[in-house]
Amino acid sequence: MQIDTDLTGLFGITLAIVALLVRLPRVRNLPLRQKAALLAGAIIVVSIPVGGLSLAEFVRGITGDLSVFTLVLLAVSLARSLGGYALVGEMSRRAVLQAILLVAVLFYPLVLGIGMFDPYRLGYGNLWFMMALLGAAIWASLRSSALLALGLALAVAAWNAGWYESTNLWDYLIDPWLAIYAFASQVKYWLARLKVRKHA
Amino acid sequence: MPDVKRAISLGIVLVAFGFGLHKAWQQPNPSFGFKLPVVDPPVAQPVVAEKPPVRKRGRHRFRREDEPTVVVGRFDSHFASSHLHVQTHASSLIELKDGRIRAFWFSGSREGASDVTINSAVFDPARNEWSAEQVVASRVSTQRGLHRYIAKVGNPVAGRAEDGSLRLFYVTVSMGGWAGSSITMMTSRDEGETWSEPRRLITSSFINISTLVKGAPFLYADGSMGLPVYHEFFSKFAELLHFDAAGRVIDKQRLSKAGQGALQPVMLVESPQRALVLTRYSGPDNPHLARSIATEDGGQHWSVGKTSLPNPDAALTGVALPDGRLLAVLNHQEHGRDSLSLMTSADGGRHWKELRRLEEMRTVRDKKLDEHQCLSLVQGLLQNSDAHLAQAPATTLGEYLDSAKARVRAEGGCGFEFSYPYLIQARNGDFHLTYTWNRVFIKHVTFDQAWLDRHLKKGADAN
Repeated sequence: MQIDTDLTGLFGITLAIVALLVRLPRVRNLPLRQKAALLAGAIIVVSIPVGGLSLAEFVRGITGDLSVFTLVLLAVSLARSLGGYALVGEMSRRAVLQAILLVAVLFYPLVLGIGMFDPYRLGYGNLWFMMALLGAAIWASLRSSALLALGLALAVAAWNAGWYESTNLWDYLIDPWLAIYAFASQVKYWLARLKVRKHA
Repeated sequence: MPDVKRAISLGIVLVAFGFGLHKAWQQPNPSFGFKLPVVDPPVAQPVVAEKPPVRKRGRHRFRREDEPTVVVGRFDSHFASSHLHVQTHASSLIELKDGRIRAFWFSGSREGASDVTINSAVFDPARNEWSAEQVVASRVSTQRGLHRYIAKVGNPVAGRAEDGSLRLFYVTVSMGGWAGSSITMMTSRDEGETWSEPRRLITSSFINISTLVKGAPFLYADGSMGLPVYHEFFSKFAELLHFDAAGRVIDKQRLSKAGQGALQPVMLVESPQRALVLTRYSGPDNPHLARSIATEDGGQHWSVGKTSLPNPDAALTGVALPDGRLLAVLNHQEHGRDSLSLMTSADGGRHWKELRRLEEMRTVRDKKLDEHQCLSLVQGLLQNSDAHLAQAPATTLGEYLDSAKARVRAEGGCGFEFSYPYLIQARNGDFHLTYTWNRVFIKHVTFDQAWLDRHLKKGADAN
């Protein structure tokens, strides 16, 4: 079955918009029913084409499709905002973001042309790359980093199914927006720790 | 409980990676080695024969009566584009199954404007004329087909896939300048009369930006298609994309030996194992030369080539001839784009010799021509470029002149630009070249094997 990659791409963008919307202070404090109704309305609004282009399509043009890891983190965030309960622990989430930051720091300079080795090429079904990812996923499972293990597994499953237009596994693992979020999150964490030390 | 969670997590990982590894294992490795384009000239090509030119002896001109008639071959030029008062740029060519030549270029109020469209026209060698141009893709049609915002379109190139269909690649930008480009692809099964919905190629991990195309696609030995592309964001380098039969990207190879600043690679396939890539150079090194890299193993490994082609960071083009010689067309100068030369190399691209100066306007660069002098010059160039214009009514010529004036006199002087050449050899051996003529027209030059042989011989005799 051929997956419509435009639908999956737009699904990711819509999820991001909704997940960000629900984090707004005014929306966050609404009762669950009103929150759900607002989100349903938002989904319709971002999906309706105005002048031949919907808001989701406009954003997709700027951001590109979001990686599976981003979708997983957005889904976790949405569940927490809507249901008020955390699907994963803070430690597990932090471990994922730190892993993403580490990979991004090594990966993006190389793909953008610092040096002439291009790690992006490994994403076209390189077996050694897949084996290395499998090793990382097993290690994450055994270390109880379920979110990292699940993210890797879902990314590989989505690549296998042709979820997006991309035929490259890297596009399912990471995107620059996730890397920026991971960086900002890490800086926030460091600042918070500094503050605690100062008060201690 | 943690053990159950661990087991579930491990189970999901093993299942997902099991399928993933199976897919990776099943994927055929990208093949290397090249398929040579078929050139099958007719046994007796129609050639133009004429008396040799008169010679000078002192003040007298003479021609010996017994002097043999020489075969001069055919050399002709036209304007491929016909829209007036627009800017045109970045043309490319492909031969159709019936021997006609289809050209593509972009055209609009200015480069990068939202009204720019990808246009196409067909040259019929039997009638020696171009059809009217038609719009193949626009910003809006691309946006609609790709389901994402598109700000501008540019640089179309076409290739023929192994199954006979045409693939048109062009760049699209959603945000920023050309460095933010991605490649979009359309397919045609009726020689370019109609096209499929556009499809976005994902070729970069950074928001899929900064993959641009200019060089002609080529075929690998197994029939899969290769496309020379380049990257411009943060740093500049040349790359090759490799597609499977369905047009999916299966590999990307960075042409690292060409170094930083190597842009707009063009592939000159010499044999199933040998090829030369020429690129423009957009870096600080002087003297300003084109860059080259070569492969001897069908594209698996590349080594730095040595070439001595002066080039002012401007697009170039070339083809490999069946006899091993190379042809290239470029601005053979270190600064400016006001001349264009046809070059040849007999030693794999190490040394090049000019066969013919196709355009030459460096001579007027520093002359302070007034508007009347400049437009007289442009009128002569227009009439020399297209025989139809030489015989056209004054009003038609006036319209063309007016179109050209907008660019040539843009800075108040008399500035010329001949750029973005694109050369192909048709199956019958004829050569077709298009290039940007002062950003207002796409000029088409065609010559045959006899014309080329005569100029090659002339060059050899000069040595």
